[in-house]
Amino acid sequence: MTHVTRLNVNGDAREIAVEPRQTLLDVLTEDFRLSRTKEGCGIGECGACTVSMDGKLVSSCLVLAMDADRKEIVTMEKFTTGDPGFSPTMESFIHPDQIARRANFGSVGSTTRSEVATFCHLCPAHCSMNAIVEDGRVVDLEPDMESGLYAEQCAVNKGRFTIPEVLGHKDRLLYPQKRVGARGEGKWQRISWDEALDTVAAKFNQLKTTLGPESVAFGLGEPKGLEFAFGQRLATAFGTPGVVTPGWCCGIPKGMGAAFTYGASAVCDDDNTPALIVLWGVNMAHTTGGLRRETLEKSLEAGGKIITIDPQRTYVAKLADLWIKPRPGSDGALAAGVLKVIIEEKLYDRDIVDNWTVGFEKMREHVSTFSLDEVEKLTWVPCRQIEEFARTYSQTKPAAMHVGNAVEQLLNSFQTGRVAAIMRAICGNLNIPGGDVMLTPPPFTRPGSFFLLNKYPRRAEKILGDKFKFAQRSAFIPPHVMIKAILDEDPYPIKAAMFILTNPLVSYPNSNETYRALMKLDFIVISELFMTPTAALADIVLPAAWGMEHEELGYWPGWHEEIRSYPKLVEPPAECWPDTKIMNELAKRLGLAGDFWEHDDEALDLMLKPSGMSYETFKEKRVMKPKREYRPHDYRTPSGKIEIYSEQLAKLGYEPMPLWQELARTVDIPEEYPLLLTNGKEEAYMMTGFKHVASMRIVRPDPIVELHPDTAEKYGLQEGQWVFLETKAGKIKQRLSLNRSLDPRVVVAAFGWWFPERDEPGYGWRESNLNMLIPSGPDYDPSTGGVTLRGIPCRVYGA
Amino acid sequence: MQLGLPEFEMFFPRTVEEACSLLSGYGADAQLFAGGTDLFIKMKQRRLLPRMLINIKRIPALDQIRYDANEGLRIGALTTIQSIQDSDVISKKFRVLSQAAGVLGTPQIRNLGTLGGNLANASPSAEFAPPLLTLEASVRCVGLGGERLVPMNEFFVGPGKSVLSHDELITEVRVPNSPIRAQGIYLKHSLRMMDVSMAGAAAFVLLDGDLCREARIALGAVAPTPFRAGMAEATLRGKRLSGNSKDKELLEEVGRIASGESLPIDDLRGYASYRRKIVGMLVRQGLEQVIARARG
Repeated sequence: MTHVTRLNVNGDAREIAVEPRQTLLDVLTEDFRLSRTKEGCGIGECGACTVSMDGKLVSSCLVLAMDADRKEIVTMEKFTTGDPGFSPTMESFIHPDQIARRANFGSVGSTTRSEVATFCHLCPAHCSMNAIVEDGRVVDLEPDMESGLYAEQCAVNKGRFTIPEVLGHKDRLLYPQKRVGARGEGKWQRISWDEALDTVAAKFNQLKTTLGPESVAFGLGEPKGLEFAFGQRLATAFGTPGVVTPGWCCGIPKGMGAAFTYGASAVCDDDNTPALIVLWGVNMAHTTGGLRRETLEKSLEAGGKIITIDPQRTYVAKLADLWIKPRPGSDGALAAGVLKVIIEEKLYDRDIVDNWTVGFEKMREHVSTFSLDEVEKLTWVPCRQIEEFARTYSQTKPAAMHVGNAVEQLLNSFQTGRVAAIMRAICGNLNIPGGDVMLTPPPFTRPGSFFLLNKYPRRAEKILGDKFKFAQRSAFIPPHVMIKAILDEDPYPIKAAMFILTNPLVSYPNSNETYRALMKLDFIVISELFMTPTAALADIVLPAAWGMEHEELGYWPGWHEEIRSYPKLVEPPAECWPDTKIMNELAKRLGLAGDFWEHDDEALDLMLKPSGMSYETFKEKRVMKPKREYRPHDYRTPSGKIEIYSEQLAKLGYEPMPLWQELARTVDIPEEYPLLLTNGKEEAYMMTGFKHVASMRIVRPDPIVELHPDTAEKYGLQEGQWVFLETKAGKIKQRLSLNRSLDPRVVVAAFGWWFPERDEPGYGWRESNLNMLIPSGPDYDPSTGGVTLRGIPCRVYGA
Repeated sequence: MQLGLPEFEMFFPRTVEEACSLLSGYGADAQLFAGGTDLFIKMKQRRLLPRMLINIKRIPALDQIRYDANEGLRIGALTTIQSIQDSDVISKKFRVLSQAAGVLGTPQIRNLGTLGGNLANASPSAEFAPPLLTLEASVRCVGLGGERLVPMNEFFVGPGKSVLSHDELITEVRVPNSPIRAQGIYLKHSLRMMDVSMAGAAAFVLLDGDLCREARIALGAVAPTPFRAGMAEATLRGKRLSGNSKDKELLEEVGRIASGESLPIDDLRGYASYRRKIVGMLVRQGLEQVIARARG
């Protein structure tokens, strides 16, 4: 039931019908379309939603719209609309009391205090910050509003809250440990670094001699500093092709789609203002490795439009002019439909198509073989929305299109990436200011070169055969390949693994299978900040130092071609070592000193060598950014044109042109699993990590699964109760929340859950961990080895 | 993605009586709220799902702060935390309450949250509980059956539980006058000032020359409810504070005993052992400060 409420916001008085559950913030976003005032934590901690109500600062996420009736609301937008970035005025709304959010680690009247500019290292957005360091502790991370670098932190401030807490956390691993007792029993003995590294090296060397270096595998997570690069280098020099990275579900499908279409990646042009922003499976209010939230604000305030594609009604869906709610897993079909309309209604740039494409006619012929009605049926998206997307995207200039991770997690993700690239290019949005642009990297050592891939070719075909060629080119193997080699010794046995930056038991698909594989390994070594479910199964656990505890360079996300310095601000606790040191010292014991250094810090200078700067000099500069040259018709393909049809792909044995049969590929929905499962990243956490952070755990204390109220009723489920989710791979339980904005056929579950507070070695990893439900294939994406992570048939029932 | 609030219907009673009737009528489906700063969090987390919300903010005259030289202080239940922090009379005569207000959350929370809410929510770490316990305040509760005055030290019964029955609401908190020379303090330990308290201690002393005539110590966040550390108090009450190093030993002893009376738990913020240690320190520090003030 709605009630009419009189709201006066920044002098704009309106009568709006609201439901009791709508907060003032909901109305500010949805009706007044404010984009600087945002929802962060939703519980009044982060300040992102702060407004002045009758002269008093309040958290608008906790004020019911009906309680704001006839009150005078003033928001930060009144003072900052049109401002180019994050400003002290915004900060004064969000954090009026700076002292209240300073961490205090026990110094009474601090004696030393410094402020150092650095970057957040929690997520790939790398917002620029001023770290406040008191008595050797990081106590706060304020936005850096002076350098001109992007400083608007994610709405929930997860870096600002998480980093000081993790740096000083009571549960940090402090000493190397070795397993005593059975694997996974949770019994540990403290050992010295020498003993730890000697043990690892002896084991790896022994395996290298008896079974070959390929019997040792590495699992690497998302790069933060240089540790990922060290891991790759170590694997290469050691001689194993068995390196699992997240590339298969993050970055490679999209990157390859672009590479085979116009020869390079293109990123949204934050330097200018798009007139249209397409957000496909992404929400940069919370996490971004791409388009900045400042750019979204800038664009909206200049009258720009937004198209959001997401099964969930995210913040950017609420702000959108057009919100497309596809069936999870059907993005390929949707892309095909949009391309069809662009081609058939001749919405593309004629000059580009006539003079700068290869294979356009073939594609035009191909899109006539399927109908928009078929697309609607497969995607659940009405034809008129597909048409509106196509028309708006092609006719609005400049248009930036940011395709997120979610679209990279399907079997046809590479081909979908191809379609997005083709759309971009033939609509003339490539390499124009405010569109999507190619970058000329600044001079620093290419990561691939750091990985020594030219010096010691990987021989990935030993484990991949002739499959998954993009994985072979991108220096990774997909997780299921590693698991198979462990469990089935096919094509050869993997007997040992080293894990850095990763928690495979919770982050790899099919956790039961991952568990069996980990239990079967002869030897596991892991470096970690905390005990995790994976670490609990290791033989040797090494205590890692974290960002801000050592000098570091960060270059991730790679396709943004930026390199940044992250100065050391505090000492690591106890005996923690940075991963780069761990691997450097291990390399020495593996007889690989020739490819490493006396001291791991020397790698910092090496990375910067092409610039002519030493690390120390570069620290003053803080960042090197790429150049945007906006060269028209800059197609770096063999033909020099946009390759809608790619000979190169044909030669590799892949479809040279994105085809409907592939793009339309969706899973069948069997009767026993009638709903489709998907998920989104949780704002409060970073992947599977950091559930120990008290201030973020109160934002989302439990894993939540969302259903449409009708679906819940159909299965007799009550909001708030724990319910089972089951697929053919397994079953878990999560707490139910009802959400009317979801399609009733969709289940949105939480990813990455385990319970660090549990007093058991596995921390409840089986209980609510989404990857218990995700099969690890077959089938696979033939080019990357990826498996389906979204739109998986499932069922729900009461616990 | 943030969940937003679950669905509910809302009523705006205009009188306390009306509120009580609604609560009684809808039973377990109904929940009262004012600022919503605790309730809405639990609802957004889907841990509490009342389908009828009783919004008492439109009941007049529940947000007054009144002081009378005989009666003492009366704070209306709907008084916001910020109003308490801004109140002249409170900062002059019941400074410990201003201190509690000043360390509760952020300004944005203080402008919404109310004293009644802080107490009715009955968190073991409620900021106002230790100070009000040391001031020997009482809570006026009104229900369908009438009204009663519940002494602070009988109000909390468990984590999140008070003696309030379902149809009752708090209308005001009454704080008797303290002797002029009494001194009180509230110290909170948390990682950030805005965070929920990991350990909290309120100390109240009345010195008569060097005789400690009265000592009250109340602890928060270190037991299922906020409580008066009676054994610790008894160790100090009636002792002479000679002003030399023996005082220090005595206060350390008092802190140790207070620590021993605590029953903290391990949670993400801190281990029980750490909280026990900290609360002992807070008691000692708090006492040192109020004694110094009482002397000066």
